[in-house]
Amino acid sequence: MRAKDYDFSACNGCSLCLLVCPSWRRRRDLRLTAHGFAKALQHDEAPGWDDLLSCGLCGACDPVCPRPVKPTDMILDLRRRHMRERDHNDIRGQVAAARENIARADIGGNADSVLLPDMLLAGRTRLLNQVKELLGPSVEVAGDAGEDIVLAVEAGLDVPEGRLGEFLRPLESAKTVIAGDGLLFRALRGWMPHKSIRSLGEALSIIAGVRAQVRENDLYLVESRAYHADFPHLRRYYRQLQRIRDCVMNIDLQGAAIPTGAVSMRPLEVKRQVDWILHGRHVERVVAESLADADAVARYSDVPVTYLGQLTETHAYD
Amino acid sequence: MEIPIIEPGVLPPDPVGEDSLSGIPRQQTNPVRWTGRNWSEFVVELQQNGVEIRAERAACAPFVTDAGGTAFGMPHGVVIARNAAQISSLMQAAQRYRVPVTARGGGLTTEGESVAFGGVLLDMGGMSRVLDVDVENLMVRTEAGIFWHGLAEHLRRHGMDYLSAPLNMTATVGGTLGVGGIDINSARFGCSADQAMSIQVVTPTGDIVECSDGENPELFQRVILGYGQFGIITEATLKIRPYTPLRMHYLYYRSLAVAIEDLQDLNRHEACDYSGILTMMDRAVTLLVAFDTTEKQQEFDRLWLPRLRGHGEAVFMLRSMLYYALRPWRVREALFLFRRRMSLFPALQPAEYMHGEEMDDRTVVFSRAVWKYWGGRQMVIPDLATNEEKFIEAVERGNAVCKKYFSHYTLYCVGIRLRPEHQDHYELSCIPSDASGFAYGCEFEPMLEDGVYSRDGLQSFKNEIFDIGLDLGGSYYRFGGMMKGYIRRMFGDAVVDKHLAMKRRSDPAFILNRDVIF
Repeated sequence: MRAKDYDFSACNGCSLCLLVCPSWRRRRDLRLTAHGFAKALQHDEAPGWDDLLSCGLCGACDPVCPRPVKPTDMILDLRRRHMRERDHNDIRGQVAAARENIARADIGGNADSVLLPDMLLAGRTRLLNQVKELLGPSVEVAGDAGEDIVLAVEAGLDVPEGRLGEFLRPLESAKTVIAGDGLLFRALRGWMPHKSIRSLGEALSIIAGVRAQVRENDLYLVESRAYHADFPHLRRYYRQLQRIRDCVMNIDLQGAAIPTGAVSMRPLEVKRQVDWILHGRHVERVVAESLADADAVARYSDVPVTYLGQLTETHAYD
Repeated sequence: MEIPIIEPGVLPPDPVGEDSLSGIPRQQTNPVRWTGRNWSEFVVELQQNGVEIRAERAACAPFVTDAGGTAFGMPHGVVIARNAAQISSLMQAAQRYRVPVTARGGGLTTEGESVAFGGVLLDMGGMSRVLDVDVENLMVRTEAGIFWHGLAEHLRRHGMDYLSAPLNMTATVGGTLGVGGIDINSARFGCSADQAMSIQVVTPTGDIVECSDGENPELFQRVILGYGQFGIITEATLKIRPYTPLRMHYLYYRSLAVAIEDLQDLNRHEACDYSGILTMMDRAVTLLVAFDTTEKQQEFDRLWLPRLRGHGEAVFMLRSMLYYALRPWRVREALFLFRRRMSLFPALQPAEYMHGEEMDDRTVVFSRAVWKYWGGRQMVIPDLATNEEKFIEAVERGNAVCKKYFSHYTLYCVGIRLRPEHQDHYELSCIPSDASGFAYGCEFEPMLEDGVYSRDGLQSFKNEIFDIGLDLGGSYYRFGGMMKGYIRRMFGDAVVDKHLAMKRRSDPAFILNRDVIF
């Protein structure tokens, strides 16, 4: 995934990114934020690897930045630079292992849409089948969901061209690609700009039967990485969903989706994020678009939680 | 030529640094960087007391300038504020080793007031927790390093809102209480600083003191609107109110004077909940009024709309078209206004924040627009504050200065309701000493965008605006840092020396925010 012409020199220190940054909320250390990274670069200082890992890549800084900084692209590029200069063999090992586990099943030529489940969903066969059934018969589940690619992108490892081509080629014939992983969703929008790419959250919540199960006293937990990667469209979409279902969402006053931080190379203080999402909300249930978020809420709060893909079931999330 | 050593707190006739070229006249720009004497011993003591200080470049770099982007200073080290006890340790050590400490909230100063010219940069952002929300009694207790927007997010979960805050989301509570805080509802609620009911302060010598009108009132008087000279605000109890969306109305004028007269009339009669004037140069003068309730709006429509001399947008557009049709040599200005209107107006009424006629979260809307359309690598926002009677003249004269220097600029005018019982707070502050009932402030903001302007040129512009204030008598919002040369001239020796004496007593080593006022 290439940097999209980010410009750290454009940062004027307005701090609007801090208002939506989970890392800032946790640590209150400017150094560990997009603002801090940009200012360090302006002074010829590259942020350290540990500092860069404090960013969970939720992407909330992108839509709020009034300047052409493109903070998430900047941070991803900084990680790539680190990777090129250092070994980080443990991470390379993880990516290599993920690559070994990729199935090579072809997608049938008649697939209208292809689903790329995230790692957690891919590992829960019953749930995955349920999601596929909800999405409809014209959706096929890709055997190669690019798990190694997601890991590589997040870590800043270059994805070999051959591997990327191998991953993208089967997707070319589909009309729509549905990405379960928010970072992959973001990357695909860059790699396949003319393709219809949808987040799994949107693809599921647009289904009438699923949407109808979202209740007034629910807190609907939008998956933040995909949301911010397609902010103008998804902001409108979820605003409408909120109006229609009259539910609460994890959308803050600036329109950013507050992440749990559970999906991150180094999840930090997920409990604090979950607490903040739920603070002051009198909700009966959390409906989570992402399994990682659902797991986090189930682990750190007493509020019942349901994964979006199970909303049409009668039994509780497990 | 021997250059005398100047002790902190003394204004020499020509304040240049020891390293300056002698014989060359200079304008007041950056202070000389503190030399670093005793730094190592100071750091050792801090570490022994468990106060983390970061000295690497990446930690210091974010603080090298402020929102103004014209004052630059690198601290020797950064301390992230965590609690009052930690700050107390820091200040005690700083006094002992005579290490300057610059406290910084959102860094939204423009004259270098929150820039450390050596010494410690104390980042108050580390103290950002909301401690208690009392919905029944309409109060909140918060750590003072919190952004106003962070406070708003928290209060909204309780259905509440703060009373009044700067129209900039990343100003902090503590920083604002120290300088004023002006909002479009300041004509109703007063400046933000006036809504503080009590504060916790760490004094320059490290005492942790709770103060209010009833408890340690002398310190309360000095710290509120005190530009950080007499203590660091670590916690604050503020008034709050139930959150309401607002209904906004715009009226367009051709004359600054007429718009200001109408604004003052509205404020005197409490005809609306929010009011202010925003202009594009002096061609598009917009009076904005807004309401928390439908009833207030209906009353305004019935009683005031017919009286006001502004027009709706359609009439204004027609008149403007005729104006420029008769003045074809000003077509570039017309095109600028048209383009700006096409881009700015949707940003001021974004669909995602509008429910019919109601706007949610106006601060988010306006603050975003401010940063997008007026923000840049440099920002200069000289201002004038006067009593009611002098305000029109101040604005008209300031407008003429703007025209002289810049093709495109904005004026932003608001009224500020004063609290008679807070007169002692207002001494040596942004509130003019001759104002009663209301004070009025105007910011003169050129649209620099990313153009390159010399610091001297920008300083000359600011000086000409400030000279108007000297001539008329009044005050300024941003009179610290690079503009502090105006303080003694505006407020007079008696007031300044009185505050300087208080400063010397409370801060013997003269280390807290030393380059801001004195």
